[in-house]
Amino acid sequence: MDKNLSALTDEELIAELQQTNNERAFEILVQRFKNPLTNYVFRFLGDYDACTDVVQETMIKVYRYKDNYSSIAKFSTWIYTIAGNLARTEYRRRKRRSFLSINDYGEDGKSFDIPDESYRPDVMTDSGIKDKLIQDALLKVKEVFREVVILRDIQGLSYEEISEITGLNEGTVKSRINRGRAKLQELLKDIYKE
Amino acid sequence: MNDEKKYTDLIKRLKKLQQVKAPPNFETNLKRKINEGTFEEKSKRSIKDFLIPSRLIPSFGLAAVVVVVFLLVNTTSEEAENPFMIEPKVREDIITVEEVNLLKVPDGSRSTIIDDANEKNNEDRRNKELRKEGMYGDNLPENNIIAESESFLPDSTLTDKDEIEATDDYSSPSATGLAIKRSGLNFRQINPTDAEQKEIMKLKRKIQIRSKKTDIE
Repeated sequence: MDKNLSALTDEELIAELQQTNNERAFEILVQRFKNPLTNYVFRFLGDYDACTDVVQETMIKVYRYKDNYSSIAKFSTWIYTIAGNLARTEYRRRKRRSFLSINDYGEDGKSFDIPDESYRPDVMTDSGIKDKLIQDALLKVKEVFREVVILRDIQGLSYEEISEITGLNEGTVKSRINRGRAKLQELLKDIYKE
Repeated sequence: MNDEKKYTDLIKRLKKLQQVKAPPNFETNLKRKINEGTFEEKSKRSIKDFLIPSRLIPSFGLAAVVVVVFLLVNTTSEEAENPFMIEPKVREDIITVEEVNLLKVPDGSRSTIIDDANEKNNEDRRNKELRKEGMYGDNLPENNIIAESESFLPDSTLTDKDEIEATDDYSSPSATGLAIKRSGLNFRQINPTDAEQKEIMKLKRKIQIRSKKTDIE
């Protein structure tokens, strides 16, 4: 039974989940998408904990609103759209929070905990330093350009898929990708000189 | 495509980036969250059943606003009358003089018109003098005007000449356009019967006799 389910496409698995509420189908979908989504959301947010929460929330939404999915669109497009929306919301929330925390800094002798980052991919080893630099540069790129650059150049999605995920037309997607790349290259020029 | 060539190095670097993987306990945490979530959803539904559906809240609000506005408009309309429906107030103290249209009169007829006007003025002057002396009486020309104006008054009882004379004490009715009659005044009017009038006369005589006696004494 499991072997058969593993052979199914994403669309067939979600159909199975919709019709029979087979939890194994959902588990297979989670296994397939947890890493690509984690990578996408982490590159967008730059925070591993927040990224894990967003991906989990995405999976929960897929499970709860499985009946809302229609076979017109690709399942990957649907799940990336959910993850993208949640990531954007989380990014804005964190932005607001960081602004407020800066305002509160030093008031009433508040202490700030330094998190233990020894296990985190963004502060790993010497081999990861370049990755860290690219990641930092990515976070400096505007939100709208960053999202499409990640989807295209890191996740390897087609322009058509990106257009469906973001709800923009292909021309806009292409121009945004180019602007994002240009900004990123400008930021990384100084880094690669060293 | 050209753009991709332009950024080939950058694209390569981005593709070489280490893939970030989900934590090992991802599935277990997810299952726990889903179970908690379903429980939350059920409890929320049970509470929602007792409350008004949120979809109806805007319509309820709108209905309340409409009722309030209607009440406000309704109460104010009773107090304030429509200005277009109010009858204009007649101000008797203002005398308006109509504009006199100057007509071009031929030179020959001008002298006759002036003569007529002078005649009228003289007549008016004479009437005033006679009224002062009390010679005119009921035949005063103004009374004719009053008699004419009476026909326009709503009360048809105002034909008695005595009543008209009573009004003459205050002002000329022709000036105001209104005549005041006795019955319209706010006096207590007593109409004694014949027996009462006889008694009154008796009492008057008694008083006269007494007064004469006292004078003689």
